[in-house]
Amino acid sequence: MTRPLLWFAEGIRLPLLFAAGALAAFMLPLEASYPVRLLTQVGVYALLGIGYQFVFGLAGAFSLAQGAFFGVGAYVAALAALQWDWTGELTLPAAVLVATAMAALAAAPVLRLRTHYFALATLGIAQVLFVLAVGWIDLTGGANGLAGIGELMLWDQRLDGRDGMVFVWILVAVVGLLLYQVRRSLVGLAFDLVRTDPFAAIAAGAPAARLRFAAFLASAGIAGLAGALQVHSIGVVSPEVLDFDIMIRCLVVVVVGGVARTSGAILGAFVVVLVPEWLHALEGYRLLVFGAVLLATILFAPEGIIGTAERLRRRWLPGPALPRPLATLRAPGRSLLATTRPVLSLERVAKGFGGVVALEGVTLKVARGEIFGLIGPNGSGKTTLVDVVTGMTAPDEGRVVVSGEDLTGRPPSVISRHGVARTFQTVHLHPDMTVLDNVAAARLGDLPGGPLGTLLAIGTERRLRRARGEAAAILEALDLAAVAMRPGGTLAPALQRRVELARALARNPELVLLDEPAAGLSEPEQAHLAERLRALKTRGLAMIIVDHNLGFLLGLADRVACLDQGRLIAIGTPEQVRNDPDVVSAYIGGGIAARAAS
Amino acid sequence: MPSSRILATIAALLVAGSAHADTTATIPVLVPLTGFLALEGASQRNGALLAFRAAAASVTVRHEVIDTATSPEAALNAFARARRQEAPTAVVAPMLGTQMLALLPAALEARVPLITVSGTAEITERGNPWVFRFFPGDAVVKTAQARYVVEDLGRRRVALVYQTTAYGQSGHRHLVDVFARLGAAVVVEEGLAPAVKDMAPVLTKVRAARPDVLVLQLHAEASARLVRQAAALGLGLPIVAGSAMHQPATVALLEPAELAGVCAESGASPISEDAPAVRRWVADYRAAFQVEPDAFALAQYDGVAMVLAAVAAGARDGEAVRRALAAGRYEGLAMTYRSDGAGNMAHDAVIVCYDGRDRTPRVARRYVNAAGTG
Repeated sequence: MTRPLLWFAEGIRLPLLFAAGALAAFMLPLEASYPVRLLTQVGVYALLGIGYQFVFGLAGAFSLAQGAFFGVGAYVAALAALQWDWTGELTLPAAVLVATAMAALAAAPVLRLRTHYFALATLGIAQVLFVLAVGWIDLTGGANGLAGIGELMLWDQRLDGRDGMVFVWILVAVVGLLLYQVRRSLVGLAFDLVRTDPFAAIAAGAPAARLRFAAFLASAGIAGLAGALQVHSIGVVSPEVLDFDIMIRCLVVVVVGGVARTSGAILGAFVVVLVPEWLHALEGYRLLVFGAVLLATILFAPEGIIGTAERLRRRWLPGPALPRPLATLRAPGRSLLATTRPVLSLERVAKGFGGVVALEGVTLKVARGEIFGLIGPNGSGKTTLVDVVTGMTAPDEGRVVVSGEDLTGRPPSVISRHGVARTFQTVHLHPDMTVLDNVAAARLGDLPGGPLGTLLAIGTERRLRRARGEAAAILEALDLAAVAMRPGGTLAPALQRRVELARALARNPELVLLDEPAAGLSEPEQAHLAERLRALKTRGLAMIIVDHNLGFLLGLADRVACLDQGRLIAIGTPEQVRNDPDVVSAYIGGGIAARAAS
Repeated sequence: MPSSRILATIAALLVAGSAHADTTATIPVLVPLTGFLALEGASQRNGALLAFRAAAASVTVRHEVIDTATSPEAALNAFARARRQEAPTAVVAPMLGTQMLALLPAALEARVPLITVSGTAEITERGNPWVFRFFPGDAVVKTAQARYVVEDLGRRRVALVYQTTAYGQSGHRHLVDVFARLGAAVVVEEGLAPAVKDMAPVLTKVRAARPDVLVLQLHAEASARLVRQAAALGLGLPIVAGSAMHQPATVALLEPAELAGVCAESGASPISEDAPAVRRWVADYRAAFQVEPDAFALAQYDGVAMVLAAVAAGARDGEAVRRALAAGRYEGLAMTYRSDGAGNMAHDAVIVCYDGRDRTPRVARRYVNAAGTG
């Protein structure tokens, strides 16, 4: 079997085959125009919904432009068919390409935004396109739209009625399988993090911006395809296809069916198209009852029908077993070549927030295999320094050099690829994802072939299995194997901190920055953690540890630096720093320190 | 009704075949009952249902009312649903232009006549022999509207406000053409999206252009809002509106005083008519539906009545009904209907005006064969 066939075949599971077979067995004997039309329409909305799963379901971006890209596809196919007599083999790709290109143009300003700002910006795209469709009468036919678009033809083969329906559903199967494969891959795990907790995604080294961009484009392209199929199915296009109604239907499809799931989009499409048809007898009350059905679904099955079914399955059926640990991941501190070059070098780094100086002229170096403690009173700039090193905050001045390479101001995903990992002061784990997958997600882009190889290998279970095996080995090493298959959110805070450390180690880093790793740990737990960190140090891993627990930190670190009001006031061995008058003054106040000295 | 016309009508209907007793006609009613055209769709439905009731005793009517909402795909679904058991004799088709444009190929393929009151010009410009429009199209009513402005009111500086929908854009195009032909200048024109609720900006723009008449081509809700705000702002211009402003449901949104000086075009105004047959029809309509009838209801009634007359005269299937409608002439309650060869059956228009004392308009002018299409 060729590689692409393998790629798809690995995604096939018995229930999937059964469901597809049952659907085909139901559809193929149909002859009457009414059920054929309805099922064609279900297929078109399923495509639209599957497309929306990429940006909304996977990336978690609340785009309100999906309906607009559907309309763009419809208009492009209509214009191409009417003006140049193009048939399906050209109109469909043209619709996909134009919708994708428009998404790429819009992405630059829009994808920088988050939450409701992103939603409003995408709504703006839709509104602009709607106004253009109504007002550009010479091109679009204005509010009347364009009529007389022929049924779908592919290379002189007319696909009307049942043939058209079958073709639409073949596309649903292909695109649906693509989403299915992405979701169950290592990239799918990264999307889960991007959607749920951007900080967790950063910690796992996921290229969040690139993933969001790809998802936005995939959504738009698939919406364009659905729009083109729609216009060939109904023969007309008018500004209604760009109206917000389509967007609302798209939202209903994914929310009712189940977010991020192919089966959710298909089921949601059935609900959106068929339920109003079944309720025809109610005439004026039809929409009221349909609205009540939707409301009930959202109230009682907030994860959608498929999401709820999966939750019940998890509750009633045993989960998967912990995979066999794979010791293929090389020890942290991967560049074991003997070198005197520091892993990290900060040169006169400064950072301010408005009038507040968070860091000022900070210069320090961290050597390979060194545990570097960072202390200082609250607000002294410790976390800002960690953020600057990991790329979450760009410095105003100075340089951040990692293993000899200047990475000043580079994004977190780039810095992460250069061997820098971190944990957070407040734990950031995906609460519903297993501990194993929280850690395995950090292997994205670090497997052979790099990020591109991982993306191209979407759905190749071998990669996911390998990442999980490596994650299992790390969890075992940190005594976390017993909780590996539990959701991250169900663990005690101390265990969650250890999982964060495991995730950082899964990045195969040369430098780890640990922000308050001992917070909330009992003394035996602190001792256990210190023992683990010392073991990692012996394998060449450099660490910067920020902690208020001076007993824990000073007993562990090789060198310690103290920050006060953004300035480095002391650096040296733990003993030197402990006795430094400036450090004492910073911690307990100048006057008290002077009296204590006298 | 002149006897020669009666004879012509009977002769035309007999073309479809010889008369039969106990004939069954299947006429699904596909109209928008939800969405922004629900009001007009309800009028269509009511007119059709009243016509079914008034069918000849020899004709049994089977019908199903299906909501087409406002999207083309919903209209096509409704059409496919209506055909799922037996071939319809004719279909009462929605008045929304984009839905009609989607239905035309389907009707051609199914060989079913579409009976509609849609005003969108394009539906009878595509050479489809299966569409029959019983409400005067824009070519008729916009001519009447413009002629009333210029010839009766003597106004030549026109402010034109239209809706950015198929209805609005089609009417706008015709009005601009007719005003140009009549030598009147459109000094300001403004397109309004249906979502616009505040009319003050557009009225300010209108006032700044110093027109001597305000011409509207708006849907019902927008018409009512604009007329109300024009009265509140003391615009002081005569308003000649589109057919939405003749609808009792639109007028009910306004106080009589706000209607002073407002006129509207329409195919008819049933509540304004004195003819006994129309008065009886209005009474039946009120009794059946507890609402006031409008011209859409009357036109749809006439259209379905013409179909049923053809069925009573022996038309058994869609093809026979189509031939009867295409060749026949029918004396309806609103006017005499005959095809212009493209499916336009209605060619007369009226201008109704409100005097500010009540909400019942008076017919100010009748235009028979207004655009010379009949």
